[in-house]
This record gives sequence, structure tokens and C-alpha cells, in this order.
Amino acid sequence: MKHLQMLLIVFLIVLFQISCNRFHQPETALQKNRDSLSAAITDSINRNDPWIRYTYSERQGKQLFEQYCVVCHGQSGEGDGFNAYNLNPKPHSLSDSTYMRALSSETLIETISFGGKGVNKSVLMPAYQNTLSKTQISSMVVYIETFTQTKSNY
Amino acid sequence: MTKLRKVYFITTIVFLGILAISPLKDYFSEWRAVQRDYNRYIEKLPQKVKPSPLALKQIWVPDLNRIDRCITCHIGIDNVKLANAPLPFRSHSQIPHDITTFGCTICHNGQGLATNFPDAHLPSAFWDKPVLPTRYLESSCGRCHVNENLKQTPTLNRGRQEISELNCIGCHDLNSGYRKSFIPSLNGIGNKVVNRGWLTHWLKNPREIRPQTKMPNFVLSDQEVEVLSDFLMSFKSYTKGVKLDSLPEIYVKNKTDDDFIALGKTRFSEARCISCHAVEGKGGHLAPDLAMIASKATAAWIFNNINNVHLLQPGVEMPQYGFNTKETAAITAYMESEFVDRDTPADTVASHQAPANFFEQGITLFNQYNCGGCHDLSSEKVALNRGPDLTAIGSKKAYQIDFGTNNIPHTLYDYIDAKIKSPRAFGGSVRMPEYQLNKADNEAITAVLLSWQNEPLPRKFVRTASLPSKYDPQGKVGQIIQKYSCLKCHTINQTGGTIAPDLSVVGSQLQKKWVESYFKVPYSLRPLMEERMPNLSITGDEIETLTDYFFKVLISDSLSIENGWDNSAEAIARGKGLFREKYGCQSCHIVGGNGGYVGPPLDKAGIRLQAGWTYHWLLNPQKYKPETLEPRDGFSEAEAKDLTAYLMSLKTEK
Repeated sequence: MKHLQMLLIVFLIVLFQISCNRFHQPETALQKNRDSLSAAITDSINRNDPWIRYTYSERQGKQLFEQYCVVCHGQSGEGDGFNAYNLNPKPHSLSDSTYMRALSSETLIETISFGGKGVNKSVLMPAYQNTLSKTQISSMVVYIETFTQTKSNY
Repeated sequence: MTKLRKVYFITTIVFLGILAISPLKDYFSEWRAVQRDYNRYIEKLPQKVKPSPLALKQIWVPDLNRIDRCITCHIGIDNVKLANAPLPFRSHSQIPHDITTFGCTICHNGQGLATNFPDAHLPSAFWDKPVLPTRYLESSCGRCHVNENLKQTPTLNRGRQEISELNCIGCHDLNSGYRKSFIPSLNGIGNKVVNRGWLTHWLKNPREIRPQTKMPNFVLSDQEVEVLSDFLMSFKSYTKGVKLDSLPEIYVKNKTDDDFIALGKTRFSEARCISCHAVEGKGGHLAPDLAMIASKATAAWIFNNINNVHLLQPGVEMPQYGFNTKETAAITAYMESEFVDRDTPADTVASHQAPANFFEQGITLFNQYNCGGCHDLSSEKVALNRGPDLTAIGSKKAYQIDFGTNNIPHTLYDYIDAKIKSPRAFGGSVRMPEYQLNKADNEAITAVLLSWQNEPLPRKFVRTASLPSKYDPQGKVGQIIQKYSCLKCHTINQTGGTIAPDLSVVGSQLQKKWVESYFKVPYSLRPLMEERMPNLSITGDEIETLTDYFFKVLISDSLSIENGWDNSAEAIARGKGLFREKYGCQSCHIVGGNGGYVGPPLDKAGIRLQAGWTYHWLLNPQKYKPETLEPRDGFSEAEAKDLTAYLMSLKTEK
């Protein structure tokens, strides 16, 4: 009887062990993939890669900014675009953090939507509310705000 | 109790204990922990967010036969208040598609049914479609939006453009919509090149001679280069038996004369050849760089090419210029004196004896690398030797891929990316040449390739772009358009190039006299465009035929102003006020000598544009040119008419 008990206990312990542990995946593919993927992620993060540096909305905003705004405001919003030479007053730098801190997101959205005239500034800035949708304008504002951002998203 | 009962009692307790293992494992599972974390997180937020019940959640998309349990951990995915939350609680960025209709994995891949992180996100031995990296995400857009170039998929658009420019269709079968671009034929190459040395140098590494060339590097050994050079030098007659005209006497007599060369230089710059041909990198990139062309092609070839380009190179996109023989000879003399490679030493090998079996060896190599896929060569022995079919490359399984000795992760997208970046690193019998693209182009092409899959999607999800109807003008007009290759740069009725304005309704946009004068002396009108229309020296008769056609056929009745418009002095004054004070148009347009240089100068708008076009354009520019920088200012009709009156009054530069 004692032997039977012993056997039973051993059998149950083995069952317990089997059910508790995960099945080991075959070493090759999964392990290799996990290691090389995590290695790839940690080693080769290129902070200047637009896919990593910007979120989806910022990327949309970047595309729109480069199409509609760069010609006057410059590639990094400095106000040194190709056409800035002809403008008087010149556009203020959008990467000037003191200036930008005073402007809330709503103000920026208003400026783009209603133009310079709509926010009591120069009439030289056109109004885009009929050209761009609200989502597009808000994505542009999110992108403009990255000019003064010190930390990246990731 | 008896012994047996004791045994039964203990066994039952132990058995129940083992039975409890499974529900306990479920209680301590990863996703429940995540959901508890979420509930704790939202308690700390200032906004009111509903806590998540601790249960498995899924999106069931019966049309796509997918069940996505991603939202078990990605709980805040459709809650806008959580836009700045840490992953995995962050809400999804604003996209045009509804999450409950599409699910997650149709765009992001990954294993939808999995409930722990490694199984859902990472590739495993049994699931080879891990979550797509962001840079390839647009490939999922391409699976439904087949061949549609949407504004929201710039990577895909760029990739598709790269694929047609690089002529991948020369070796690979591609999805529909790609046609072979023009590539020079190799007939007569032995007669065209100045000496065999150039050919050898080119075949060894084309990018060394011409960095912008589309021809990739086939990484040939020196021996192979010698064999191919011998083989190609034997082809001395041109396509369709065309023979080069010998250089005219006027060239032979004056080719070193300074005045003659100066004439050539003047004609070269008036004709604006650099609109398409860069010289030392400066200029357009639609045609080969001319900086060292005289060291490549003989003077006779250059002369004949300018003289009658469509005869010498059928199907070429270069327009026929209307120079006379003296001008053509002068230009040839100019090119021969200027566009030489002064650095490379002259080919000192006087005469090279080709080995006896050069043709057999040569044709074997030619066919091995499928040169005939891009270059036309009239020889019977040329055989096609294409590469693998790429029409469903996005569905290739990881187990079907030979990764060779590369140390890349074993996923499809890494494979495609690495293959395009350095195909020869896969060793062995790979014939694919090295394209040396930059990283962004490489990723763009990979994204397009990944979107070509053979998983059938329900019809209501797929949007195939309708192929535009081909515009093929006939008769005299058709001949003129063909001769001057207008459709290489301009579009008419959805056919043609996109570098120059769309001419589909030009008869209602511009004034006839201005168009005629523009043909005679094209000038740069739009400051933001890099390319400029070259001076093609079109004859007066041809101009008349074309303008007749434009103003009788390429018109639109909708571009007229109903109820007329008022061009009185008051209207003009009102329009001027609107222009300057209310809308600030001078920030982009020049009027009266000053203003911005973004849109075309409007000094001569009154003699260039038509009133009806101006009016409709002002009301909604995006209707006619969706990508234009001009904002839609939301004019009332009265304001638009006043502005039109003002603009139509501007007829001089002051």
C-alpha cells in the first residue's frame, strides 16, 4: 500500500510539473528572431529616422508643412524660406521657444485657419480653413510644436 | 477512517489541486495584469475614463475572417482622451478607417488570436507575419488601394515611381500598371562609342562615369567585362538599318573655330537643353548628364542625334529641335570641345584583337544577365532570362526564403529590404545587380513589394484605381505632339508627364496671342518649378496648327462666367483693395514689380489669362489643381468678379 501511495504521489508531482511549465519552443527560429529583433531595435535606433522620431500625426503634419508652408517659413520653421526674402514683415521663427511658449495650440490652429488677418497679424499669411481640413491643420500644429520639443517621443 | 478512505481523501484533494492549476494560470495571465494596470492608470487621470472589465476582448471581422484580440491589452485604442497615454494604452492616431470594421491585423499584421506579447507581436516558428514595422505599414494600404496613389501613402507613391523608373519590369513580372520605360538600344553601340575603353570602363561600374545613371552595377569580373566589350563592339549597325549621315563640311571646316563654337554654345543655352540633361549635376534629371558625352559618343553620332533624333533612336523621349544644319553642326562642335572627360587618360591600347569565339562567349554572358530585358539588341541568339515573378511576393512564406549566410532577422520584409539593398550578399547564383539606393527609396520599394499579395480580399474592401484612358492624338496635331515629345512633360486628358502644367483645357485658360509668343520664346513663369520649357524652335506653321487645336478642341464650356462680369473702374479699384489689403495676394504673386515669388507673376495677367478661367480658379483652385499651393480663400462671387476685373486690367509690368 505504501508503495502505491508513493507511486501515486510521484505521478501527481510529475503531472503538476508538466502542466505548470510552458512547452519550450524549438530553439532555432523563435530564439533567433527574438534575439536578433531585440538587438536590431536596441542597436540601430536612429533617432533621426522619421519613422521613429515622429508619431503618425506628426508625419502627416510634416508632409503638409513641407508642401504648403516651407516656401515662406523655411524647412525648420526658422522663417528663412525661399519666399521670405520678399515678405515684410518676415515670418517669426517657429523654433524660437520663448515665442512659441506664448502661443497655445489653439492660437496656432486659429492662425493657420484664419490667416494673419484673422489673428490681427500681417495679411501676408493666407487663411487655410477652406483648403485644409481640421484634422490636417491640427496635424500641422502638432508638427510645428516639435520644432521646440527637446525630447523625442521614444 | 479506513486506509482506503484516507487514500481516496488525499487523492481527491490533490486532484482538485491540480484541477485548480488551469484557472489559476488564467488568473495570473499577462493580459489580466495589463488590464489591471490600465484600471490603476486611469484612476490617476484627471479625465473620466471608464475602467475596463477584466475579460478577454476581441474584434471579430467576419468579412476578413479575422478575430483580433489586440484590444485586450490595447484597451484605450479608440478613446481620444488617451492620446498621450503610455503604450499599450495609447489611442490610435486618427485614420480614415473604423477599427471595428477593419480590425487590427489587416493593417498591422501580427497574430490576432494570440493573448501574450511574443505570440502576438513577434515572429515564431509557426507564425511568420509579425507586426509590421512602421516604415512598411503603408504596404497594407496598398493591398486594398491597388495602384492608387493616395495623398496619405507617400511612401507607396514614391516606391511605385522608383519601380517604374528603375525598370524592374525588365527582369521581373510585376503587378499591373508598369510599362517598360525607354532604354537606349544597343544596336550600333560599336559604332556609337568613341573607343572600346569607354565601354569597358562603363560595364565595370556605370556609377563611376555617370553617378545619376539608372543602370545598376552588375559586379562583373574583369574577364566578363572584356568578353562583353568585345561582343558589344561587334554591333555596328543601328536599329532598322539606319546609317549615320557623315558630318557636314561646315563642321569639318569649322570645328575648332572659336566663333563657331560660340554659336553652338548660344544655341545650346537658348534651347535650354539643361531642362532635361544635367551638365555636371546641374540641371534636369530626365535625361543623361552631358558633362562627358563627347568622350562616350562620336561626333557623327551626336550630330545625327540632334539632327533627327526619332530616326536614330525610335521611341526616345527627346523632342526634335528645329535647328538647321549649321546650328546643329555648331552645337556638335561646342559639345565636342566642352563636354570631354579631361581626367581619364586616352585609351592607349591601339588595337584590340578579339578572341575567336567572342560572339559565343559574349551572347552567353548577355543572356545570363538578361541584358536583353532592358536593352534592345537585334541578334537571333538573344534569349530572355527573366528573374522570379514578383506579382505575389508579399505572400511569400518565411520557410520558402533562402537567407543564405546573412545575419538578418528571418522575416519577409527584412529579406526583401536586404535583397534590394545588396542582392549579391545572398551569394551563389544571384544575378540581380546592385542598385545602391538610399535608405528611404529602399524602404519605399520594399513597402510596395509587400503590398503585392495573393490573399483574396472581399470586393467591398478593394479599390482598384481605374487606368486612365490613353490619349492618342491623330493627324497633323498628333505628329507634332509626337515630334516634340510634348507628353513627356505635359499632361493632356490624363495622359503624359507631370512636370509641366496640364494642358487639357488650355484653350479656356490662356490667350491665343500669348501662347504663340510663348512657343517662340519660352520663359520661366513659375518660380517653384525646377524644369523650364526648352526652346524647340517650332516652325510658324506648326505653332499655328497647335494653337488652332488648343483653342478649338482643348476647351471647356464650364469655364465661362455666367451673368457676365463688370470691368468698370470701380470694380477694378475694389479688386485692387481685395488683392492688397484684404487677402494679401502680394505675399506670393508679383504685381507692379514687387511681391512674393511663389506663384506666377501677375503683371501681365490681362494678356496671358482668360477672365473665365481666372474667375473659376479663384473660387476653387483645388478643383483644377489638387496639389496647388494657392489657398482657397472662400471668395464670394462678387469678390471673385472684382478680383478678376482687377487682374484682367494688369497688362504691363509697371
